[in-house]
Amino acid sequence: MRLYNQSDKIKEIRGNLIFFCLLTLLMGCRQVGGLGKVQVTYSDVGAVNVRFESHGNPKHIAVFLVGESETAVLGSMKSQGNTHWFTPALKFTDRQDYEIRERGLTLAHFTIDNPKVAVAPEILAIYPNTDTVPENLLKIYLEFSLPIQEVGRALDFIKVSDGSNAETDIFLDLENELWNKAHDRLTLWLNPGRIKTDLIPNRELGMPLSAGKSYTIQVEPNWKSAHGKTLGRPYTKTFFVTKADCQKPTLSAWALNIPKKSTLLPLTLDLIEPMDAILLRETLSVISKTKGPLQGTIRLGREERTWAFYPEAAWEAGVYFLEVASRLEDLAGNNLNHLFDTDLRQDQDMGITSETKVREFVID
Amino acid sequence: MKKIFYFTAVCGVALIAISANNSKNDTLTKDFIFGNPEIAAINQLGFGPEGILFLGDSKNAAIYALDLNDTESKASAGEIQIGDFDVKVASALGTTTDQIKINDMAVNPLSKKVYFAVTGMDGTPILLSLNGDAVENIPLDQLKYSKIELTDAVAKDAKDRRDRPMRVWAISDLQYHNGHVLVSGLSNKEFGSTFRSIPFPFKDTQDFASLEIYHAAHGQYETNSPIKTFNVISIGGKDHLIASYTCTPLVLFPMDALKNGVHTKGRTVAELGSGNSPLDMISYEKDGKSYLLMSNSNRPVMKIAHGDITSSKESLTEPVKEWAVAKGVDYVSLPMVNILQMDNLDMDKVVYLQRTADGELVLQSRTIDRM
Repeated sequence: MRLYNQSDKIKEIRGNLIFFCLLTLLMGCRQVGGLGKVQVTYSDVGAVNVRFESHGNPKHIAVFLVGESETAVLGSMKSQGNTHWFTPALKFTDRQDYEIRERGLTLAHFTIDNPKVAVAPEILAIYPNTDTVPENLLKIYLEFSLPIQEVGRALDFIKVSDGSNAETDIFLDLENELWNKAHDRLTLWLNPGRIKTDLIPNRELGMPLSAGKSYTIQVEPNWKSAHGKTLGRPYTKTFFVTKADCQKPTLSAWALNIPKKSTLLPLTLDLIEPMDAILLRETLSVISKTKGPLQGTIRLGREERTWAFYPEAAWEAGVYFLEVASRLEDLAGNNLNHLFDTDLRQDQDMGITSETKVREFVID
Repeated sequence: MKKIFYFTAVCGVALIAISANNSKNDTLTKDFIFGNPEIAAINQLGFGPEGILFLGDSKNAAIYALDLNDTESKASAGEIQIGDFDVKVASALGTTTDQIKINDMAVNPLSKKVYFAVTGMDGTPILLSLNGDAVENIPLDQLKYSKIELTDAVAKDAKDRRDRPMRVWAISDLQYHNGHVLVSGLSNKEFGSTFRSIPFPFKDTQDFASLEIYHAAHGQYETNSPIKTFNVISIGGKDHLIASYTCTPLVLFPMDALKNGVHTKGRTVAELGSGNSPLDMISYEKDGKSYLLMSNSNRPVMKIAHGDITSSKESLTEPVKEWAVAKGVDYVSLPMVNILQMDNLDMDKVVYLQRTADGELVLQSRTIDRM
């Protein structure tokens, strides 16, 4: 909604008014209510209703797609005198022609022309940002500037090709796609069954990516926003694949840069390797031993290799804790507790697993 | 006098029956409230007792129970045969087929009425029911309902700066069984399959089980593969969850082993071929025998006798090496392809949505004699 005005706007559409004097004479049976004007109401969310005037009985008035003879548009009709408002169950579709009919006779038609649709969506980021990824890369996120269409299949708009320009199929095809609630960020899994050693997809097809190769993700320009405007241009990201990452991220190995007291300088953390951009935003918190969790702003550094916390209030001398949810993952899906591809047959030392890992630091 | 006695007796029995029915209704829906539940998405539908419709909303990570006042019992349903069904739905929604998506279909076992979950281009959720050959809209802003959120029972979900939960649960299937709503899903953050058993009527305290399941076939590697669709079947008098995964192993779990926080190792009873994804699963009875029907993305509908699953003691632990080869429990391929949705219409019929070879989407019923 960020690019939209908050207030509702009314756009008046002067429908092509059709008067049925001749038709009425020809049919010679009843009077059809005349229409003065037709108004479509547009809000932030689209064309929400149509208002018209008619002397006819609203029970016999319905809205149809132009050319549709049987099925009327579902919705609710409210009337006040000769003024009627029809609210469709699904908002009217942009560029679609509709007719208002009474007992089969067309009273008027109108076309939806939503000014909001003029704003084209953009891709803001394709994560990971880095152009070098491990062979066992687990996820790719696409972030859009606007909510994206909720029909169709995301993978129909995403093509992946390797260095020889051969199209390749690397993503897990899920019927229920993994979008966030605003529908402007998509999570794509590189087929985990192919990443995990010895699973059938892994044996039959091998890893989705091969070390030493380059791949290009191309997002097709015809992918639309929720309001039907296309991206308008293709977006591409090329990355080079290196050997698999088989190391767990470790909190104690990260370099912590501690700010001085009475400053608003950030607490920074060098993560050594790129981490999952989305999880990194939400899995770290700073806690004062005496005052509890601190409020502040988180900024991620280049390629999600660094993390910085800018406090709202100046640092006070004392003991603090950096708390990290163990579900934070690196690009290969290895979290602070275990590797993504874990061989359960090996009676290996999994270490101490816990929901969070904590590191203490002192500001003096 | 005799007539009066009979009349009084009949009235008495009728009153007892009505009050028993009402008290049952009261029990299940007494905590329902009336208003706008603000449903954000309808990803899955499933009916429970008394015509209560359960609705899975991935955006709100919530399950809703709706009282649609659709409780008039019918013994059987008429035949259904509607061509260009997506065109009909799109016209009824004032748009074209490329602007809508039919997410799920469910039949009310009492009234035999068919319901559809539809999504518009901008994500507007729509609930439709079939009346003859026409579809009707069920407004979602005035409903008698109850709701439970699928919050993470283990770790409190992170919130963004506007205090919205960051995690989304993509609900892949939902079914009511024996006082519980069973829900499978996948998180958009960490790769992991979850399966929940939520007592119904929903309680204020969220004492539902939160389960993570993995099956450990094929060299005992944990998979956490997401459940695509599931069904509950009775084997030897015990309820079992039969779950189908995206890479199509069919895995069996005893229901009583699915406990809160416990990792349950399932028994893989069949590998139904790679390059294929299960779409829907139902059970039906024919000549005193129970069968499972499974529709697939790249295979015909498979019919599997519950008895064959029972007798199949094998647990596949060796990888199936040949591409797209099926192994394990026997199944019959029915001459039904591209079945996108299906449900039991009545005791004798199944209703399904099928994309025909020429691209037409048809809604039709089929008697179980032909299955």
